Amino acid sequence: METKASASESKATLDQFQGKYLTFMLAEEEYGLEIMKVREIIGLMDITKLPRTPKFVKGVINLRGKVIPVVDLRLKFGLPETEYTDKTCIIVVEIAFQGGTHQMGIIVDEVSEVMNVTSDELEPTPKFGVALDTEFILAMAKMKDSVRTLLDINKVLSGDEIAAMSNAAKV
Amino acid sequence: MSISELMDKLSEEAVFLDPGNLASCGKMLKILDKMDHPAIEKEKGTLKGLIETMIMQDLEGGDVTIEQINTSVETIQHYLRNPELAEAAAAKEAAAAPAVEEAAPEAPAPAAVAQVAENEPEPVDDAELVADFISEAREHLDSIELNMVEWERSPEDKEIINSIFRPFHTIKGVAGFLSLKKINHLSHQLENVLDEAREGKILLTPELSDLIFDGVDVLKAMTDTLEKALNEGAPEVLFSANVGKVEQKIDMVMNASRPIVDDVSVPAEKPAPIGEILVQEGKLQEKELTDVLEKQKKTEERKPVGEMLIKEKKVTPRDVRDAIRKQGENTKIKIEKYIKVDTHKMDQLLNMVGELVIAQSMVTHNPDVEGITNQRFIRDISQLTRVTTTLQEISMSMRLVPIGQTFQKMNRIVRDLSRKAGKKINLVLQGETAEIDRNMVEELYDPLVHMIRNSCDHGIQTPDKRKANDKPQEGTITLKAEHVGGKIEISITDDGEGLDRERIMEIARKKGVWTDEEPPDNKTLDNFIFAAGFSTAKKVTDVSGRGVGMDVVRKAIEKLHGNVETISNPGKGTVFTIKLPLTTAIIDGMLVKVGSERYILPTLSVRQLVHAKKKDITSVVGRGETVTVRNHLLPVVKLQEFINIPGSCKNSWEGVLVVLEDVGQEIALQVDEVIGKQEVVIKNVDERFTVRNGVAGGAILGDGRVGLILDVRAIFDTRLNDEKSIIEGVK
Repeated sequence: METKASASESKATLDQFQGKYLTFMLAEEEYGLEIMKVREIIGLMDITKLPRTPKFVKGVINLRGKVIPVVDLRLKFGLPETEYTDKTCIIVVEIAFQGGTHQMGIIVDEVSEVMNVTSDELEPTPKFGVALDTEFILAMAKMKDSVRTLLDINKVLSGDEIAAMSNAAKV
Repeated sequence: MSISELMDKLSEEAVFLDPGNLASCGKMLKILDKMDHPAIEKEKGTLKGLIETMIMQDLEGGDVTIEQINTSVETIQHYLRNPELAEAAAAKEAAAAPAVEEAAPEAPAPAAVAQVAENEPEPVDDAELVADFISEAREHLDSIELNMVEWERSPEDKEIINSIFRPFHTIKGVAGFLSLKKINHLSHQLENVLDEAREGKILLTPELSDLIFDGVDVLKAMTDTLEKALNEGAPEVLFSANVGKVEQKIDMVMNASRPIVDDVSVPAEKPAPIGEILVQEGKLQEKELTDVLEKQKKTEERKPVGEMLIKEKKVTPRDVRDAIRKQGENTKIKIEKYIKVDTHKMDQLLNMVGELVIAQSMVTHNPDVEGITNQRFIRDISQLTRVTTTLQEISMSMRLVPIGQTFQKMNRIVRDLSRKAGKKINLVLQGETAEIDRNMVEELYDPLVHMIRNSCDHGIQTPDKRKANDKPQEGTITLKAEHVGGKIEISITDDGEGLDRERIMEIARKKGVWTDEEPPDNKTLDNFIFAAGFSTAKKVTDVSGRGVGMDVVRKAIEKLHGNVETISNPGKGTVFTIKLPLTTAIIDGMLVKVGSERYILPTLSVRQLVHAKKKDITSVVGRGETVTVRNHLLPVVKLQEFINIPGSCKNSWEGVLVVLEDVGQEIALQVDEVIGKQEVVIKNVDERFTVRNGVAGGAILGDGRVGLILDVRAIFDTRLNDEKSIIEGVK
């Protein structure tokens, strides 16, 4: 009985993740981002380095007069660094943090498509066997040919590491 | 039109009603005629009567009548909402009818303003109106404070009393209209006090002015409470009970026996009397006027001149009306040629103009565009440049406000502090017209208060001590602002006892701010007070001396991209100098290059540029390198090491040394190359990425790339930290 109850409960939590996702490639894996969080996709541009920041922080860019920070998602996830190509993109996302919204750019290998994820295709995050910290994952989407990791981009970009960065600096 | 619509129209007219506005009066009468409701019959009559008197009245005591009209309109509104009350109140109404203050000045607050039960929540009805009221009330309260200080200086000046009376009156009126009973009641009482004072029935004593200040404080607190309720979207607001105390005190003052002053009742400066206007217009002979005036003096009632003139058939009612209008026009001395603009919109506009300037420079500096030799094109593009530059200047100036407003607020602080501490302090304001970014004005208020407090508390001595030191008993603090080469310098000078250098040294050693055997020079020593947790006050007063003061000041000023320093003359006094850019939106920057990256240093902090020779550089074991500039030994910081990117200069005598200054300290920053000076629009960078890593903000450079503005203080701090860690390492 109990297991059934928790199963239906987790089904309910999973259902809230159905909807449209922007998918992109990162080191041969496919990931999804909630479309509502995506502001725009831009090609790679000149990035100004920020001193004394972790390696995954590539620096800041001029997005039509706004200065926004850019994070290399490969480095953030601890994946091997590669040369940027013409397909390398910056996805500008809007994340909620400390009561405000911030725009940030994330560098990905390649943007694939916008897809609709239905509740049938959603699977809970496996407890092991994923290279990524499970905290960053909303759910998995099982499509006909592949499995995509749906990211909790808010957590990725406001998580401990970045918070620690500013905390460490404050001391 | 339904009765409630009519009511709205009526209230609307009542709000905009001012003496002499006959059109409004007429409209109100028309609306009243249309309003038909049993509950309001009686009050309708009263109001009609009031409006008619107002039309006829030659403006004497015009204020009182408007107030009565407003009260009456309120009553009608009230009865319309609760018709059953009308009857119940009928008995009371006789008492509630607005008592004419002139007739019974000794009477307690007119019963029309009903006593409010303690702590009864009051409705917050129309959010927009309430929001307007809040900002308006704050302005008025500020102006009251300023004028109160003036009044204390020249207690005889009736015009000043008037200028305190008027804002209270406005607050009262609008609060009443918005059914904010407590605010309405308190401001009404304060207004009564001032009315008495205006008529010379009550004299300005320190107690009285304290009372009014207290009242202002309570009103301010209530405004804050109201704003909070409004922001939270609460339907009601509950004011705390401290209102009662002040009101009781006011009652006491009002009822206390007063010095009997002969009924001189010098009327406050009034606009030219109607009679004179009529004579000027040629509608009346001077002789006729004096006759009527004589007659007016003889009669008991003292009827308005206008009314008498009409009765005597000397002039037509139309002439009197025109004269009243003219009088009204003359009264409005200043027609404000300002419009209020949402600050958010202003900021947006400025941002966009900033963008425009950048876009313009990006287009004109595009290599392809620069290659165009077409004469006409070159002319057009230079025209474009001119227009954008002018546009930028104008929009920048729109944001600038005189610093005087902020300065004047210090008057009250000095007044309160000197009274509390039993000192005599005179605050002298200079350069009040110097303009500064309005966003900065707000940010500047707290640090200024802090420093003024500091000067009052630690600087100026008690009168006895001053006398013993051969100084005038009254201390002087001078607050001065002046424009110095594209930036503003604010100085606070006191003629007090100066900084206690021995004590500073003692604390500096204790806190590890200074570890050398040799004491530092006086300037460096004085500026130690800006270090964190530094306080020389031996006893903590409730004014200052908790050891956070000057540190907070420094941080606040640095946030505005400015710097602060102090120099003291023992026994003679202390000077604090704040240097600020005129605006926080644009910074005058020096563009420097390290490796492939460009950085911006605020020109405000740049003292000079030095090409050092090898012999100028000395290396001290454990202390890093130093350079001799103007016979001073300055620590050298290499920018490439600070930001940790490879630069092209290995040795300190290569490249350029930029001498930076901050709180009296100097440091030499080595860069590969200085590209030039440029005005840049400051862009905020996500704070999480810039905390204490030496970046104060970003800016879009001419080529569209982001340049980072360096935080000069952070550069100083790393150097100091490095030194400390090296010293600790040796130990």
